[in-house]
Amino acid sequence: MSGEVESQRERSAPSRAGCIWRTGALIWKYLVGVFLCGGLVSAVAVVGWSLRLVQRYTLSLWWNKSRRNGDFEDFIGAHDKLSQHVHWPNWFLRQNFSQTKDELGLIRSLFHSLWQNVRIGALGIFNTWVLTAPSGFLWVFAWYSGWDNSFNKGYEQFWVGPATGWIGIFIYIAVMLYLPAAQARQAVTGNWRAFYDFGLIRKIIQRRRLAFLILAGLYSAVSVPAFVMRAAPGIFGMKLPPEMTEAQVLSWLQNYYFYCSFFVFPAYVFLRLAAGRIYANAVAELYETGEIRYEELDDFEQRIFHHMELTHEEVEPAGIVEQARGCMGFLMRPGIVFLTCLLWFSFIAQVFVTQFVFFDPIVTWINQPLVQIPAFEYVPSRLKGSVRGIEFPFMLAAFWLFTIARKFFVRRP
Amino acid sequence: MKKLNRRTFIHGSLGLGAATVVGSAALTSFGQETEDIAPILPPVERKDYRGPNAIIIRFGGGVRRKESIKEETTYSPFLLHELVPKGTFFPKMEIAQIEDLATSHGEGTLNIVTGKYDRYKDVGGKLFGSRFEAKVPTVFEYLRRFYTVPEHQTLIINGEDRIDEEFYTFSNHHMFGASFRSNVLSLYRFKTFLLAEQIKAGEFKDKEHARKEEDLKKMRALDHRAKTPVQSPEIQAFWHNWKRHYGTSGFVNPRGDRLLTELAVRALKELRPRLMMVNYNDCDYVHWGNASHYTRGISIMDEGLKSIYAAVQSDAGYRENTIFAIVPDCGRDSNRFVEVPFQHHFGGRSSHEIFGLFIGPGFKPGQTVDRVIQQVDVAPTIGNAMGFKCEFAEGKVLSEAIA
Repeated sequence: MSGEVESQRERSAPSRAGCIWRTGALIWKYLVGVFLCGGLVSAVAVVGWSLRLVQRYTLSLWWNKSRRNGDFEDFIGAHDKLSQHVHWPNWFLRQNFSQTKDELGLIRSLFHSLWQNVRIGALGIFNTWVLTAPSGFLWVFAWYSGWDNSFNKGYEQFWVGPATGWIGIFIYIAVMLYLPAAQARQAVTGNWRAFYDFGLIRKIIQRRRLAFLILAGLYSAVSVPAFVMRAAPGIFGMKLPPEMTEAQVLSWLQNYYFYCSFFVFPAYVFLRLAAGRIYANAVAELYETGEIRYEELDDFEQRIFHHMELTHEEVEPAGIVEQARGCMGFLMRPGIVFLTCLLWFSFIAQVFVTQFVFFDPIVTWINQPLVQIPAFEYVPSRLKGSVRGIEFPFMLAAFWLFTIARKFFVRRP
Repeated sequence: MKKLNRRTFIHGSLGLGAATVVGSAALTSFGQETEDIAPILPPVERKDYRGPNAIIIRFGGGVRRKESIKEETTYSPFLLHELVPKGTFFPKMEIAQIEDLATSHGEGTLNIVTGKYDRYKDVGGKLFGSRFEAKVPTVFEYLRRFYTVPEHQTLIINGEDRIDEEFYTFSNHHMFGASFRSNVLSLYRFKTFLLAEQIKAGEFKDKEHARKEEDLKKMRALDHRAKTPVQSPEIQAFWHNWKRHYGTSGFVNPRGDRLLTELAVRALKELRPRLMMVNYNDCDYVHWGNASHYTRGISIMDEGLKSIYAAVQSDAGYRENTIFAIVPDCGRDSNRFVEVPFQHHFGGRSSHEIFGLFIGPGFKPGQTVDRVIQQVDVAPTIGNAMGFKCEFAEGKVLSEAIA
């Protein structure tokens, strides 16, 4: 927490000291993120924090494209609703704590960012799961029924498990063609409903097919070490002393997964930022060329584009070169889409392969840390004394009930 | 192996000379009696077999002691409560901890039947293949080399999930091999028989006929070492009866490990095997995560064991004259670091820990030997009981078990 307070001071501090404070703040934020990736519930805050970071990052990208001069932080700081993005998002303290702590009171200010992270994260994960959970549950069923049928030699219905699995795979691939852009849009706009702007998001994906192909490749590549780390206890667990007590095994695994989060957390943030960058560039280009109208932008984007003076220009009719380029693009489109699907398939294949080595009955199917919640903890249920992940749906339900109750019963000043 | 002295060498050379002339004419069908097979090997006087029958139960694929022979946690009550008191029980049998020695089904099976550990590799080089070839003879080959036991009376009952183990019927040892192979009863063999019958009966026309012939060729070619792919007349008669009883759909006969039990019980009645091995395996389905497949699989094996034992006890020809050797192919891990702790490919201690039980004439009843013994001791012990020496085995005869 001292890192967050200090990051507020650095703007007025001399440059070298500011550098030291920034470094300290970065290390603080990194360590907290790693720590919070240790459980499904706590990692929701990581989702929210990442979405806020993506929003800030996108604003900086758009600022680079704007015609206005000056410092990004100065511009952001000058606008009330954007001033929270002067610095990287905090984990706990309200943004610009030293200046704003009196507005909400000390206690609320101490945990304002935590509340924001959880709230935004819950909204983010809700939308993500709306799209990905169906295929996840299909896989749960497919795996269970397929192997149960194999054991019982139910030849007559041999097809049920594999067919369900393949349906889940195709649905997941289709979802992943859409999801990264949708997640970025939700992050940038701060509006959960913007996740479902299918028309606009489709235009963004079509504009940046190649970039989303590369993003799919990044997901697949970055997930390899994550899956290896997940499966590793299945292999080297046998090499550890058998005299270890259950408590020692539990402690060892918790430490192990904590250290794994040193990779998972930055990997998750990196992929979010990559998607945000693609989104920001695509929206700016589409707006510039008039392919998106001002009215199609979200309210937040409209304000940003207005303040940053991002405009669209009259586009001259395409010349021969542009037309040829357009034709080539048209011809390559099916290939790019096919390759993107193939890369997402390779990502899914890792999920299945890891299940062979290190089986997890439910959570792994419906939560891939780089896509949904970046919780990297696979301690066996019997060591924890409860079914892994069982607390999560209850916590999520409690959160939604609280949010709804707050909306109806708490009056805003 | 016997030391090579001058007399042995001369006898062997004469035999080799005779075999060169006669051998190629005699090797027509592997369904024929071995009297037809000319001795290209050092001559051995083959006697009529008058020893006990033997049934080897591969209590697998892969069981831990905890779920099988530990009183508080067993899923095999018949084995533990009914059979163990009847024989000599070795609760501390293990698979040796040798570098690169795999604890798995194919390897364990060959350890049991050859009496020798080996670092087996798939002959086709396939990544997860288990098409192994033993370098030393199996107990089936020893029995048939020294006694006039026909091929159809040395049987391996194999499951449908592990086709590679269909072909553990003989080693590539130059002194034994295909001439003394055992035979296999399995769904795969039945399907091959059925397809051949259907083709012969003209049930397929034109392109379908050609396709089916190609399928049959592939099914037979899986056993690339077989001289001829057709099973013996006795086995074919067995399949005829099976077909008459269960039809051809594959939906009526018992399934999984219960199928193996049914094949074994019917084989006892119809083929009268002198040496039979039943390769149970379904508990291995726990690999894919469902723990109840493991425990349920053990229970099914226990029920099968009960059925086979009852069939033996109700048959005058087998009742007082059959030894049982019950031994797992391998154990399973006890990896507390994962959700499903019992795989078996990661070399955990419990994947090496198995048990052995010997029951029947020649074995002491009601005895537990609490010392560490090896899985490779099974073959020499069976050989000793049946009256042959497993000269290429590295295991030892378990003298404590001998009455």
